[in-house]
Amino acid sequence: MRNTKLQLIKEYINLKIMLTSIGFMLGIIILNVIVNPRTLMYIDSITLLAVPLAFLGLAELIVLVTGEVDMSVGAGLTLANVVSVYAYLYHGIGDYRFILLHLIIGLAVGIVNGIIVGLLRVNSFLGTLATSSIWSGLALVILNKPEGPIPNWYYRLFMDGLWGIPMVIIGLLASLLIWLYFRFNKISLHFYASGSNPYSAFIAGINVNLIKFIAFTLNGLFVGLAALFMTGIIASGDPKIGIPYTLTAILAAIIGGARFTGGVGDGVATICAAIGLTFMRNLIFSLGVPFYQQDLVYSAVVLGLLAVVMYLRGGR
Amino acid sequence: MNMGEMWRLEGLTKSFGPIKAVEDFTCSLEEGRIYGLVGGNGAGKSTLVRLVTGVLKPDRGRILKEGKELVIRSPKDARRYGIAAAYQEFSLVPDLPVINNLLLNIEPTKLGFIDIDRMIYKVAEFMDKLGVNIPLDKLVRELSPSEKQVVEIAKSLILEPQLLFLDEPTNYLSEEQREELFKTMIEIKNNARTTIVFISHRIEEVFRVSDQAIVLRNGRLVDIYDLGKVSMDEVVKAMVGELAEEFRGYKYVPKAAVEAVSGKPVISVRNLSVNDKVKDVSLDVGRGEIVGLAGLLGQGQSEFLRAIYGLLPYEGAISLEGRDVKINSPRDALKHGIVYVSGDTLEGVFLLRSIRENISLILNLWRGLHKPVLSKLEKEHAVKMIKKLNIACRDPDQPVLYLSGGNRQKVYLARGLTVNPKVLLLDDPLKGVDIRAKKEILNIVKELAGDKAVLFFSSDIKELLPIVDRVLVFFEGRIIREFKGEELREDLIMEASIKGTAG
Amino acid sequence: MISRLNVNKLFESIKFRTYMRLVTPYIVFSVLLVVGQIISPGYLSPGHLQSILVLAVPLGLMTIGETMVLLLGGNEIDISVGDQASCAMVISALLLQSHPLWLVILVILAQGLLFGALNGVGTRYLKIPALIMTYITGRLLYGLSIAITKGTAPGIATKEVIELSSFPTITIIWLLLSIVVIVILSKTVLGRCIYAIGDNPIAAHNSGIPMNLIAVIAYSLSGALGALSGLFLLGFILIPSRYGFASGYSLQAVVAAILGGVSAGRGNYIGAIGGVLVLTVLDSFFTIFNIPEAERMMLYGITLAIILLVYGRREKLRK
Repeated sequence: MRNTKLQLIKEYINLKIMLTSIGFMLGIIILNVIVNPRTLMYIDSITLLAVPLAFLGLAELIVLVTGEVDMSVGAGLTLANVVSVYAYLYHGIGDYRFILLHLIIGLAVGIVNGIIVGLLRVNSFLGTLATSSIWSGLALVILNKPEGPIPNWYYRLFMDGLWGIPMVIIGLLASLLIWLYFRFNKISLHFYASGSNPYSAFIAGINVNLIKFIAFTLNGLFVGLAALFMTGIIASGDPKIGIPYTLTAILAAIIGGARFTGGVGDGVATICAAIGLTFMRNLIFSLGVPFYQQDLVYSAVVLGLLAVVMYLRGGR
Repeated sequence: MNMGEMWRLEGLTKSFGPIKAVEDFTCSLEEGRIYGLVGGNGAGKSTLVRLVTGVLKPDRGRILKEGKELVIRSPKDARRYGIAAAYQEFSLVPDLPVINNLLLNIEPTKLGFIDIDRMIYKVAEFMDKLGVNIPLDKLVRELSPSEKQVVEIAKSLILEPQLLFLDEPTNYLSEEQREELFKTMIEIKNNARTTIVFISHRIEEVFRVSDQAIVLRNGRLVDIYDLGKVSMDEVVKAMVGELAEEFRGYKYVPKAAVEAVSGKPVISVRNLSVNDKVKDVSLDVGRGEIVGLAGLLGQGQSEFLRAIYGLLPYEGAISLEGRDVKINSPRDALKHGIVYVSGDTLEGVFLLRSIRENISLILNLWRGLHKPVLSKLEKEHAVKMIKKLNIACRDPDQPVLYLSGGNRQKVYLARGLTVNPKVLLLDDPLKGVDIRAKKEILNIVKELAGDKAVLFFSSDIKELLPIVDRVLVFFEGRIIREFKGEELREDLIMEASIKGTAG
Repeated sequence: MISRLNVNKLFESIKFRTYMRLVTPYIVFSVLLVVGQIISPGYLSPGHLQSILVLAVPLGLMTIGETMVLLLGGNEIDISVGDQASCAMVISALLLQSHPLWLVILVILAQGLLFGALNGVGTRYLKIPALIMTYITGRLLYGLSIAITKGTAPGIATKEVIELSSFPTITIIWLLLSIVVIVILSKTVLGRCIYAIGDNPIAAHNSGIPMNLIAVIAYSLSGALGALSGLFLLGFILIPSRYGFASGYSLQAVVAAILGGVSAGRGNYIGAIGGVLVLTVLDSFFTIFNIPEAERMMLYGITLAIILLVYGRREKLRK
């Protein structure tokens, strides 16, 4: 019986995928250090950049597990960031409510997506593409160019850390703990079931549409958390900040084991993938790729990675 | 309410569009009994199960437990009332471990967290009692079909249901596993007073373990038989039903062309196996020969035909006119002159497109993607086909959507005939088609068989008898018997199909 | 006297519904024109109508490709058309400085075909969902445009291009291409196959239709047309003001096609033209009212959401 429990836990944390992803992450970091040893000096600030992506990756993962996709995570992050900074700059909301606002906007975005996809049963690809236009547009309406600053105490938080602990550690720890809390919670099993075989889940009495709604709501929470860290990093509100992040978040989730058809995926692997991808961007920079080629190379690498993963999986 | 009556199904009716799957089904089920639910193809057994377990919503009817009407709006409700089922196509989640499948939606928790210890405790003891030895942490997707079947059955038992449906639970089990299952069924019937409804295409199994047999035909209840007092033949006869009016008194008339089957067979199949559904089947079909495939549904006839058409991967050898070929896709098959018509018109017919478009599709493909459509020729050809097959329509430009099932089937067939195939594969195309259209299709096949090899599977074999040269009966993926000449009688063939034996 | 039964039958007949799908966007277009005249007198003047027929062309070309892809059904979609245009704009501006127009056209068509084919390969052979794949291709094109121009201003449109992009030349080109695609879709085997695939992919496979090949063809053509429209956009604005200028057009092309009654296996480009005209007019309203880009984005998102609520919902699990 002891053996079964161990095996089960290994299954729940998806050991194989997790190890592959950790390998990927370490590989990229090591490559980075080899190419540019000075990376070691900046390793904490580079990793800090990975934290919003880690949360977005988790947001994407949760939705992918149920068999849906969210094309609006980047836009949602942008909106949360912009609204909060706007509220601070123009309405003086700079206390604890500054943090709360990020989370509320994130949740609101998630709930709207959840209603459209989960309850109204709209196709998630196109539905979230539509909402992403709405969030992006709304963000641009609120702030049509980057504006700052952010509340000083918040800024200092990211400079000095919380009680001495750098925010990058807090961010990674938070994402890890929240993921584990979710994964070992009974409801995660219903998520995986709904994605793996919605008919079987239905027969077992699971309300699949409700599960998808909850998935998008949790996704919204993660988006809010991602926005919290992004605001701290860029120390401003930027209505164009989230654009490249949606695709990268999806990729992180896929390297983290998720499939578009649902039912699989691991959070720890996704977090590591997010870190790996962030260092990958840095690697491209370190390799001396001129700035005007960086977008192209990065997109090409993304496609290449996706192709490899899809090919190895047999593209299920 | 009678003594011991626990469950009552009243007037259950369910239609899917024009098809009546279950019609006005009424019966009482007592506790502590095993009922064998039997019926031929399309009798409505699986639909009935899903109506009671809350998966389908009945158009009419009610379900009562101990005299009280049950409100079942979802499978969750049915579960609450103590109704459970092991489904023919399994209701498992492939990406979760066995233990989580067993406890799906009933997982024990500690403060909201998955209580692994209690999960293992609950299940281990249960599986021990059942005598099952499958590792609980293995993902269902990694299990063999027989292991999956065991898990599916275990899953239905874990909540100690009061009404249990077992839909074809023995399909993937070995001999010993079947014995174990029967032992368990009798045990829970006696000890827990569970009502069990057992569906199996193996009629002897039903007889061995059931107390009564519920016979369904065409969605309606025929009768309920006490198995102690009645013979298997009587039940089989009830399943088969009366010979339809026009086939009554049918006498075999030898076809003149049968002797002409000489020389090389047009298509020759050796040791064909498809997954688990077809096992080592070999046959030859000559020019002008119409070979009928018989047997209960799901015995591999469809898979056999589909494999030859390249829709399913197979092992074994296929040769056409002496030449070995490997068929990997419908394109390959069509290139070699093999045409396939499925029983499900939705697999072959384009509803939004016009009749003439549908009929000319394959021919157009062969002309080339870049070629223009030749409207006049197309129309002429369509008119010819419409006349020949007597397709009831307004004109060749009408979308196929407006045609009745039988006429759609004719369009499907016409498309295949347009490219003058060497081999014609017909996969139960007469299902759900009206009598007149059936006759017309059969006539056309008979007429045009002249230079082709025809393999014709029908779930209602009596319709084929006037046009076939011989009939091969499938049972569990193998051909168990061939009927020729004088033996081509519906009752003989049906018996062999149901009993599954050559005798 | 028309009995009630007959009228119902009329409404349910496919012919009637197809007709309505085709005509509706044109009706909306006409209504909008009248509205336009009300809010801005002179809207219906020949000069202004002319300008609508000119401004509509880039979107019109992109929608041709989008129509072919959407007809395939099954989640096929192309949101790289806008980025094809953006990249083509930049490449054209760069090359026109020192190369003849015909060569530039060949180059951007090659760009369109190449990246379009990439879309087809990615969706069909790598099984990457179309939305994701075409999004990635879009980003690739965006990156390509920056890389090729090394981040500097590429150049300016030549007189030839400007002439090409004005009335009546540009409208005639659109008309010709429209006729070509309408003929392809309705009168060739390829067109038949596209409709067949959208109508019933299982039957299409069973009938031996080369589904992957046709998808690659559709995406390639979509890419080529998207790229071509970039040339005309350059003719409009003369200097590409930024990279990714035309990205927003992708979603507009989808909306235009859907408004025009295009869906899996149903509809055709004639209706989509109506959708294009509607969107072009709406866009001009946005300009009249000075609605900035942000609100426009939101409006498109809301429109798409509403359309999806009507057309794009999942089945119920319990029947």
